[in-house]
Amino acid sequence: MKQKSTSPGDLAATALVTVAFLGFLISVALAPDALARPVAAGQVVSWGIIAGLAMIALVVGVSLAWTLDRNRRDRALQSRDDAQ
Amino acid sequence: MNVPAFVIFVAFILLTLAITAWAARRTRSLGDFYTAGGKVTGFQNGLAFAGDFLSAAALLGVAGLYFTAGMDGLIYGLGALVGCPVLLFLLSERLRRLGKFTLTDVLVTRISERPARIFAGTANLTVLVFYMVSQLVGAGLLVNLLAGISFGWSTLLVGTLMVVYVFFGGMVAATWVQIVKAGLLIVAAFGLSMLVLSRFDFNILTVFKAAADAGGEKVMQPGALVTGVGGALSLGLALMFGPAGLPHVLMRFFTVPDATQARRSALVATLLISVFCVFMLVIGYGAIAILSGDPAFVVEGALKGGSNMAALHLAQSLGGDILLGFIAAVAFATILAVVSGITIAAAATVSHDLYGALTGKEPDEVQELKVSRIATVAFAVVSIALSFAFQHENITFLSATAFSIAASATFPVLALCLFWKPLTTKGAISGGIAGLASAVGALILGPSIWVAIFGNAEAIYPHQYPTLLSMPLAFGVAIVVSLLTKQSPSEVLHEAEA
Repeated sequence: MKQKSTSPGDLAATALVTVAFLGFLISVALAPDALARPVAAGQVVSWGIIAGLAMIALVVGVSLAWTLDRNRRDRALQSRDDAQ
Repeated sequence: MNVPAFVIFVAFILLTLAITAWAARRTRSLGDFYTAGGKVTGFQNGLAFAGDFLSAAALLGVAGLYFTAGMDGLIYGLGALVGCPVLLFLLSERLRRLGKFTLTDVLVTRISERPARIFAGTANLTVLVFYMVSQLVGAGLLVNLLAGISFGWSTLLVGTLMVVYVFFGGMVAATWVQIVKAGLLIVAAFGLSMLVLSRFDFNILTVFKAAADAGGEKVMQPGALVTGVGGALSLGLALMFGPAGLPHVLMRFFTVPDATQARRSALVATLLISVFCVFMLVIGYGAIAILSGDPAFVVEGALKGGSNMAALHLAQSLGGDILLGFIAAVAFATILAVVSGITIAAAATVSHDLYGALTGKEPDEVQELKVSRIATVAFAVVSIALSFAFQHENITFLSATAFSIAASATFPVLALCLFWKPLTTKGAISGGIAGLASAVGALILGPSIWVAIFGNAEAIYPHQYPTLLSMPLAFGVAIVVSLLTKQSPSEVLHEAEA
């Protein structure tokens, strides 16, 4: 059940979340007006709130996907080991 | 004094002491003391993990930031969450496979032992002291509010309780107090957000609308706290990579039996914390909507008792003294649990890493346990003393400061140990020292200490957090020095598992 110590999936998943969060913060710093704009005329909810919620959804989505993928791979390795 | 609140509060302290007494009977060996003997399940550990991340800052500090800065509260609220993926993807399995008790046990698989222990020990203690101060300030405020005793006596009370938990119960007690508290905290946040929603026909849009009416359009708009790309990146790097360098968080990976359970615990924590972030959004905007116009809680536009009080005032407004007591007890439990975890990490750092490396003697188990218990008391005394200097700072800023040092000193060395083969001992140590020194230096010369505490007119380092400077510097120095030096094979005790 040994895995290589560096797996491209791990780094890619980390990079995805990092870029998204730093991008979110940079857009807050550079374009606060764009994030301050309401999502629709007459609405109070701003794009900033939506972006924050999207960030939460992204973290949950990527974490679940990564873990499911890991579990599947471990099971595949396990059944191969068992077959031998 | 608020009697119902105080009764709930005392009941909670008794419950945690009972847990400690139970745990003390189960703490026989060094492995039990540091890592609960590696017998915690993945789900339990996930709760404890979430508990470590959801400190007093996550409830009190973030609610306060929503109240004072609107949408920026969401940015800091995300802070507890964005550190999780790094731990899950990069560290959970790898650390469990390599480690024993502490972060340093991982480092010595790649770099030579004595410098590794001395460096990691110093860096860990620096991070832990800052983090501890943020928790003690929160605790002082809470006890002050509930029992009406002074900040000084409050922090002393918390410090004493914490020493009792750790001294007798070790990691078993700290883990179980953390598990109970994480459950209670999430239930409390859920309950409070449901109460907020019940005032607004269970429609979150109505909450937002009421908040905008009460606090103006600006509560939906970002930017009051995050200004400039440099400041934004410094904050972002600290929040994402800081937790991956926090010794008490990393120790959690060693309390489960195997790598699969380590992975599961990080996932459980991620999911719990993301739910908590959503609850805090409701609580934060609820606080703006409900408290803003209420003269009982807001005087001249500012919260009575300071910005850390928003969640507590909201609880009192929605559910009276009993709910206030419950929320305050949970917040206090949060602090106790987190400080216990921090203190164990500090004790482990001193006895397991520094003592042997500095004295040149290998302590036996009995001796090491003794040193770690003395370290527990010493660490408590130092942090309580420091918390007086910082008692007026927002606790979210204080804990982000600890994150920024961790992201600059311990995380780069750990990451390079795990992912970069050419790393040498000289490279790792010089990079780590560069990160640690520049982070602490920039903090002292920055707005929070140079201006706010020393009273100078202008900060020499412009950003609140040093990470943008110190984290790349740590990586850069480590890489350059590693490429210039050669690792002699005899330097390293164990080979890293491939």
